[in-house]
This record gives sequence, C-alpha cells and structure tokens, in this order.
Amino acid sequence: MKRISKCAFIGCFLLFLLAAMLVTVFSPKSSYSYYENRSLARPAPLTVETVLSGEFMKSISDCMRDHSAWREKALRANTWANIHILKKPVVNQVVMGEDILLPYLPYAAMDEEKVAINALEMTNRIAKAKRITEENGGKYYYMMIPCQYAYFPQKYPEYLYNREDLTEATLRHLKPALADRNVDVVDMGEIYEAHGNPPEYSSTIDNHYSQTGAYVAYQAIVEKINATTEFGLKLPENITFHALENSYLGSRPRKLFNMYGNEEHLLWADFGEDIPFTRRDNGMGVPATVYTMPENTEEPVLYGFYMGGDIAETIIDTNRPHLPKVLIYGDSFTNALESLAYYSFDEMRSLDFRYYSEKTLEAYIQEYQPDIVIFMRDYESLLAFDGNGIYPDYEK
Amino acid sequence: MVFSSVEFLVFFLPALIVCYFCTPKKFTKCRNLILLLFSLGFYSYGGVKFLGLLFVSIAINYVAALWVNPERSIKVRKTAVALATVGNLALLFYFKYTGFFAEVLNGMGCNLPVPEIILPIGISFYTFQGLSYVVDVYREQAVVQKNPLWVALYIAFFPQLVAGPIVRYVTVAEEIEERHESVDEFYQGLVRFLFGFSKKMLLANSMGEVADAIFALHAGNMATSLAWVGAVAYTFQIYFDFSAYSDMAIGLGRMFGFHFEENFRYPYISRSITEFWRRWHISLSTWFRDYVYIPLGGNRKGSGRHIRNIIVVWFLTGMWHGASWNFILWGLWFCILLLGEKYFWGKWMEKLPSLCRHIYTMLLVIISWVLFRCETLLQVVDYISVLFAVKGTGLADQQTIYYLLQYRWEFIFAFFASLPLKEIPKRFLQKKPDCAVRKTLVFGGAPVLAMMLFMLSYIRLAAGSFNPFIYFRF
Repeated sequence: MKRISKCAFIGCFLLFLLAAMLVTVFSPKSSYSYYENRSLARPAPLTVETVLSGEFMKSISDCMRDHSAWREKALRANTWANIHILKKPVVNQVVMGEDILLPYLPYAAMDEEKVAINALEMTNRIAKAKRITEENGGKYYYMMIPCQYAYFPQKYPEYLYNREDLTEATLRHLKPALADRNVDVVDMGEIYEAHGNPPEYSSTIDNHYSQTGAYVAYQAIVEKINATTEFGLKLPENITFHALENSYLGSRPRKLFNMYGNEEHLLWADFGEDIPFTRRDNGMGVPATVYTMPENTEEPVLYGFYMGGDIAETIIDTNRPHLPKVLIYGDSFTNALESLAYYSFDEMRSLDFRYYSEKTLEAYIQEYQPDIVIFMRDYESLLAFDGNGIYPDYEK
Repeated sequence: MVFSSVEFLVFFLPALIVCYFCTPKKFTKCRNLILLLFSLGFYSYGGVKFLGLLFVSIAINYVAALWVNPERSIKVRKTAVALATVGNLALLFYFKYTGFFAEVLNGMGCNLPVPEIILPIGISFYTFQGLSYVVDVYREQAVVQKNPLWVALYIAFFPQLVAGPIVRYVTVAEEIEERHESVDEFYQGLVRFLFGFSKKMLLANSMGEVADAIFALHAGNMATSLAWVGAVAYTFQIYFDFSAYSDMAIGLGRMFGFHFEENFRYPYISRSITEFWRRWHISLSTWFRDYVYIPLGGNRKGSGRHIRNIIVVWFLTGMWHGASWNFILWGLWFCILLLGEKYFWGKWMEKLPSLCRHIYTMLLVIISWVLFRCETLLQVVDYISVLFAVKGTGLADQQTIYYLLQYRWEFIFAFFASLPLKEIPKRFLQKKPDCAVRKTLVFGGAPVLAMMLFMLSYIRLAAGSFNPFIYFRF
C-alpha cells in the first residue's frame, strides 16, 4: 500500500475523531432521551471525594456516552440493523412478531409458593382498603385488566417466555383469596374471554388495552356497581368512537425509534351529548378535556393522549350531585377508562400512588368520603407491592 | 479509562496524538514525558487515589534496579532483588489477597476481621512488569535505567498498564530511549487498534450478553443445551475481550513507535492443552516460565521436581487471576491436564486425528472457562452438573433456541474470527506475488475492512451500555 494511501487512511480516522469530538462538545445537550424514555446522565458533583473515588470520572464517562456524537443516529442505525439485517427476534427488549410487538420477558422460574404468599399479602392490603372504604360509607371494587402480554400469550414464539404460568398461578391464588374476603372483583380477562378475546381490545404495539377494551371494562364495572348497589349508573347510549389521524406511538415502536410501521390509531369517544365538567390536576385548574389532542395530524401520539398521562391526582367535576362520587386509583390502565367513566359520576377523582404522596389512601378516603372506590391493576402488577400496591395507611 | 469508551476514543487519543506528533521528533525525551503524563492521566481517570500506589510500585522497582546493578556487590544485589520481590508481592498481596486469606483463616477457626479492600486496577499487571524489570537487571539481561521517568514510562505506559500484555523491559528498553515512529508504523498500529476495537465492541460484548444472562440463571432452571451455549459464549467472550485489549495495546504501542510481543496466537485452534498455553496469554505464561518455573528447576531435575514445579506454577497462575477458590481450581485443572499430557496421554494423543485432538482441547478449555466464570465453587459444581446432564431441566429447552437465534450472527462471526483467516489472503498473494489486483485486494482490503468495522463499532459504542474488559479485575 502506498504511503499516500496510508496517510489518507490515518487522515480519515483522525478527521472522524476530530468531528466526533467537536460534535460531542458543541452539539446542543438534552437532558432527556425521548425514544429511550429516560433521563440522560449528568455529571456528579465535583468534590475531592468524588474525584478520589473515581465517581466523578465515572459520571463523566456516563455523560460522554449519553451525549456522544451522533448518538441517536447510532441508536437508530443499531436498531435498524438488528431489525432488517440481523433479523433478531428481540430488538431493544421488543419481541418482533409478524403483526404485533410484544415485551421481551426474561425467563424466570415460577415459584408457586411465593405467588401464594404474595397473593395473600396483596389480599390483605385490598381487604384493608375495602374495610376503610366501607367504614366511610362507600363501596369498594377491584378490577383486573390483562396487559398486552397476558392478552396475547399465544402470539409469542414458542421459544420465548410469555409468563402464562405466572399469570395463571397469580389468578388462581388471588381470586379465591379475594372472594374469601368478600371483595367485589371484576376480572376483565374473564370478560374478554367470554367475548372471544377480540384482538381490538388490546393494543398490538403497547402494554395497554385499546379504547375499545377500556370501554368494555367501563361497561363491566358499571354493570357490577349496578348489580351490587342502588345507584343505577347510566352508560352513554349514543357513544361513537373516532380514530385519530395521527399514528400511535406505542411503547414498543417507541423503543424501536418508530421505525416499525404500524397501522394502529388511538380512538376517542364522542358520547353524543355534552357533559360539561371542570378539571383539576394536582390541585391546579386545567382545561376541561380528557384527551390531549395533538396540534397537527403529523406528530405521533402516545398513550398519554388519555387523561394527559399519569398524574398524581386528577379531579373531574361534572356538577351532577344526584350521581355518586367515585375514587379510582391504579396505574396507567386507569387513564383510558377514566376518559369514559366520568360520564357516569358526579365527581371522579383519580389517584396514582406512584406519584401521589400527599396523603395515604386511608386519609384520602376519610376526607373525601367517596361513594365508590375502584382499584385497577393490570395482570403484570397484580402482586406488585410498590406504587399503587402499597398499604392503604402507608405514608411515604 | 477503557479503550472502548467515548472519552478515550474521542478525547484522550486525539489529544495525545496531537501533543505527541506536534513535538518535533528529535525531542524524544519530551515525547516520552508527554506519553508519561497522558499515561498517568489515563490511570487516574478511574480514581486518583490509586495513583500513589502506582508511584510506590515505580519507586520500589526503580531503586531496587539501581541496587541490583552489576556494579554493586553480589550481596547487595541479592538483598535488593529480594527486597524488591517482597515489596512488590507485599503490595499485591495486601490489595488482592488479604480479604481472601482472612476468610480462609476464619474458616479454620480464627476470628479475623475481613477487610474490604478495593483492588487497584491493573495491579497484577504492573507488579509483574516492574518485578521482571528488577530481575532482568539482576540477571544482567537488561541494563539498568537510571532515569526514573523512563522507568515510570515503562511501567505506566497506558496501552499495557491496566490489562497487559506484560511487557518485558528488554522488549522496549531501546525504544524508550530511541524509537522510530513513521507513517507506516502508525498505519499498521492503527489498523491493529481498529480490529481490536471491533472485536471488543461487536463480538466480545455480544457474547458477554449471552454468557452473563445464562451464568446468572440457577442451575435448576437450565437445560444442558443452554449450559453449553453459555459456556461457549463465555469461551468466545473471554478470548475476544482479552485478545481485543491486547490488539489495541499492541496497535497503540506501535502507533507511538513501541513494539510489544504478541499475547495471543489463535489459541482455539490448539490441538492440545500444552499448545493452548503456548498460544493463550503468552506474556503471562512466559513470565511464569522465566521467573518461577525455570528458577525452580523446570523439568531438569527429575519427574518429582518437575511435577512440583508445574503444580507451583499453576497454583500461582490461578491465584494471579484472583483471590478465589475458583481461580485456584482453574489453575490446578490446567496443571492436571498439562501433567497428564506430559506423562500419560500426550504421546497417545498424537496418534489421534487432528479433529479429535481439537475437540478434546476445546472441550477441556470450555470447561476451564466455566471454572473461571463461576463465582463460587457451588456454582461450579452445579453448572458442570448441568453441562453433563446430571442436573437441570433436561437435555434441551426453548431458551437455548432463543439465544441461538438471537445471537446467531455473533456466534458465526465469533467462530470464524477465532480462526487464523487472515492467513488466507497472505497465501492468496503468495501464489502470484506480483499480481497488482491481488496486491490491492490484500493490502487494501484490511484497512477498508478495519474502517468499516470501526464505524459499526462506533455505532455500538454510542448505542450500548458500559462494558468493562474482563481482565481489568485482575
């Protein structure tokens, strides 16, 4: 190889390093990675201790990696190559199904004894919430919603784990335990199954159910309340659903940098009648809407379209005092249901104890005195003791 | 700092290249100082507090070498070499083995506190390197270096400081004083560096993902097939991880005019364990050969002494890798195999077809890496039980299919990359050495491939998570 070729080769390499250095230093810095849905690293405080221990330089390393030149392009290229060239069955923790994107679930041995113990513990917590609700004049309901992997277990390739054994064992232990404590349970898994598990009830690209699935859940809980109380709640008679033009960026395509084409669109409901309401989020007045409408039809929308995403406390007041007051608490599965449920209540309050820490559930119920309390959990978090699974009197 | 990091690649290396090559060639001392300062910066990046220890090590070896100089009396020289040995090994023992021995003694009924001492990065490598310098001067195989900065540069030179190869002073003594940097050397070193970088980013890290996931499983949840996939993945990981570091070290050294010895010669093509150890971590095995095995008498004083010497060397080799029974077991495993080949089945094996010998070697090497990778003796027993279907969920399971499908390309490339394929283009050229097309393909192919792999590796670097080199913990 001629000397000039070698010089050119060395020059190319050094130019690349120089460009990478300049871009790394001078490119605008963001503190959040949208597609990875995480905060980017920040340097540790510069102190003698952090320098001596190496912690400061370690944090600089993390920062450099998170803010390195062309990082997002590199992430996209890596993802693209894994999908299209290497054709990996799992890319960025997403199982690449033919018509579905599922979460990758690492293999784990199912411990039946542990499930049984945890089911009893969770039952104790739910029973306590029920007792507190009833002591304050309300009625308590527990809703179980299949998350995506539990709704489509058969969509996993045979060689991948779908947690079917864990889901089955959890339900097998939890439901009888709740029945023993006289907790009113609405298991949407059973109801969806009775409907033949229509694919449109769940998103194919996100962990959550669809608006259709949420509407069926809304119908089910209203029917359950009507069957167990005198409230006689009404459902909207002329409801119609409309699809947003915008593409839906579920959590799975988001992990794939939206490089996986999908046809799924989010639905929003038109009750066919006007239900005026006011809304307060975390004590602050906000526009009276349950859908975060996108500014244009081009930008992709997230599941946060419903109720504006996960919020510690939301109060929707329809000012219809003849209807009961409801308190709904749970994870993000509550959002799609809440965008419909306010129709049937005077006031709907929503708490998410992953973010809400002002009062305990017990104190909140004592102060608010709701007529109905609904605790919603998806199948993945049925036995999760953190967040919304905490004891009703647990103070953070 | 690690070579496969953004800060090294994008900041450290270009800054060093600029500072070094902007200094006129005739100012070698100035260039050496630049290398030394950058090397100290490289080391202190992981925590300034261990820099003092490095200085102590350098000081011990510098002073000791002055005292073992042939100009001194033999008594002084012997005392100095003994003190240097004790000093170096005391440092190594304190930082690496105190906790382990305290636990061992506690297991025998003592009640000693078990201190939690953080292992300074690279201590095993630079201790051995410094010690070899003193011993070589004592043996009059090397001339004493009177400039402490050059001793510091020899010990702390960043390419080999934290994970080897263990460079002998005689290898670089002349180059420290006077070396010939050139475009050709820089180019050769760069290509070597880029290939090493790619091996780490594209192969070692992927294989590491498989090995980490499988070795984290409980033996009761693993099928035999999965255990083998994990063991093979780790076999590839440790080779590509460590040899990649050596490639990068050798390449970087060459870019700045230093020539280090090879540390790996395609060990997985070996047809016996004896051959494997001639090809694997050559700088360590030759260190033990020259500074332990031969001084003990080697194989010259009868079978009994030979067996004893082999046991000592392999016990120490195991211990060098880490203060744990697993590493001792790993060393003794190779000790038994080497003695077996020497005294029992070696001659018989030579009559076997090459493929059988290769399978025999790889089977035993893969098992050795299981001993090396497991964290406790219990895990070793469990994992080996699953490998041989004594325990576990059965012969095969669905997880195996997942790992083979998910990492199929990495396994295929790792397999081929562990073979001496680069000899093929050389042979291709040798058939018609004057053919211009062949020359272009052979000499132009390597840099083009290196650059392409580097670009892919940069993508992985920017996209991936932190993954340190395995040999950093030694």
